Amino acid sequence: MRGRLRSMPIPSRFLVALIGTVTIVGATIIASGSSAGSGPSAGAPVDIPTAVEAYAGVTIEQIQVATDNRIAKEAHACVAAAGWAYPDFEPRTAPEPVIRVTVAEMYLEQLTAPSTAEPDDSGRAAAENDCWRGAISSVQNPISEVLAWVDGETQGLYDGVGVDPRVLAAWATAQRCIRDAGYPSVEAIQQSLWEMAAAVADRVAVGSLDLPAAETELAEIAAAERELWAAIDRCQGPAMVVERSVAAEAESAWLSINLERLHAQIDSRRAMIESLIGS
Amino acid sequence: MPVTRQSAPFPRSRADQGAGGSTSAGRAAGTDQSPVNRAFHLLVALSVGVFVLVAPTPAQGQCRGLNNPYHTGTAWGRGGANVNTCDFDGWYYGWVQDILTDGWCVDYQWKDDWTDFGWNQAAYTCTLNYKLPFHYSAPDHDSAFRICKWQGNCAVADLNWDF
Repeated sequence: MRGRLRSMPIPSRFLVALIGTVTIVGATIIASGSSAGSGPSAGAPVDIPTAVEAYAGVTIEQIQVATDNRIAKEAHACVAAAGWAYPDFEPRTAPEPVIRVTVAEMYLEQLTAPSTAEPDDSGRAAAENDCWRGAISSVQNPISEVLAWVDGETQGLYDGVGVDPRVLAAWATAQRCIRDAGYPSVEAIQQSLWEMAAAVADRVAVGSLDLPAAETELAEIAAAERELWAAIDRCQGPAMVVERSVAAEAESAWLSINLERLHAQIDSRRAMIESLIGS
Repeated sequence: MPVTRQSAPFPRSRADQGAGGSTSAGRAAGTDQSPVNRAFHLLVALSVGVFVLVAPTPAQGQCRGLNNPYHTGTAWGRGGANVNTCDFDGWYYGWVQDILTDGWCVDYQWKDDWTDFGWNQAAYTCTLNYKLPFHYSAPDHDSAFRICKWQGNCAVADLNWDF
């Protein structure tokens, strides 16, 4: 296996995960207005995730971690039972980190990866895949089920949000912000950066560029990709806060009519929730 | 199954073509034991073995087999692969789409291996209905992917995606 995370020393993995999580996902959640673990400010409408967490008595994140642990435990036992060597199951106390890797960095990894053929691990990989998918199928996340029920019940709820004057104005501001940051077309620039990275890899492949020079060029492209992401996050963040706020108004109105039905959905899964949290 | 598994595309070997009119039963009975044929069979076996070790792995995440991409999604987000994803180069070319103005963005994440430390974010979009293109390299053949609308609310393809 050649996962880039696995190839890093452990402290580096944590550092990358920490940086990635804090700068990207954290920024996204903060910008969007997180529900998990943080209630609305006084006077703000109560949105659906907050109402679910309040009645369930757990956070969505807690249930996700508990579900992931049960899935992993089952999958690890399954692979071992199939006769393959496999890492020991280690329960998590927090969600799996999410990191963002640029396309340029992926090309760099390909260029620097060992070229030797890997041993044929298709048998182990097949067992691993079957076991994980089987575990995911058999271990249900009760809160995800409730949220899926909500999705079905709230079709059309957000139709008015996209045309709300506050949301339209916020998105117009976001688009101006991105243009002012020097990106008249985010898509075109992104595509251009990808093509530049691919071209560097191609030049290495044909021998017209050596690896140190390629590393320098790809690092510059990766930095440009990250600058683009930062501009998108910085410009779209405020628009998402406005959109989330208007959407929460719609959710609050829905809750005022459907709260008992929502509670019934949670109550019907109470035993599952308690079982997961207690395990 | 979104993470389908394909055998390496073995070329049919001459040994399996019934050369000289011999039948499988005849080969199984070991009727032809000349040194030349034994050497030939050994070469074929070695060739197949080497091919198994070095055969490239097709991108699998959003494929139902070679040259067969698909798309799927939830009530709030969709994802799919482009036609050149399901080949043999390990690069995934796809798109992700936020289809609801609920104030949440949509995030496409993947893992090279189920036991990886965390998820890699390949694309993230907040723009309603825009099919954001992306691509990433996953050299292994047991990769997984999911879409999330916030951390803790993720859907794994074909298992708990709504449609």
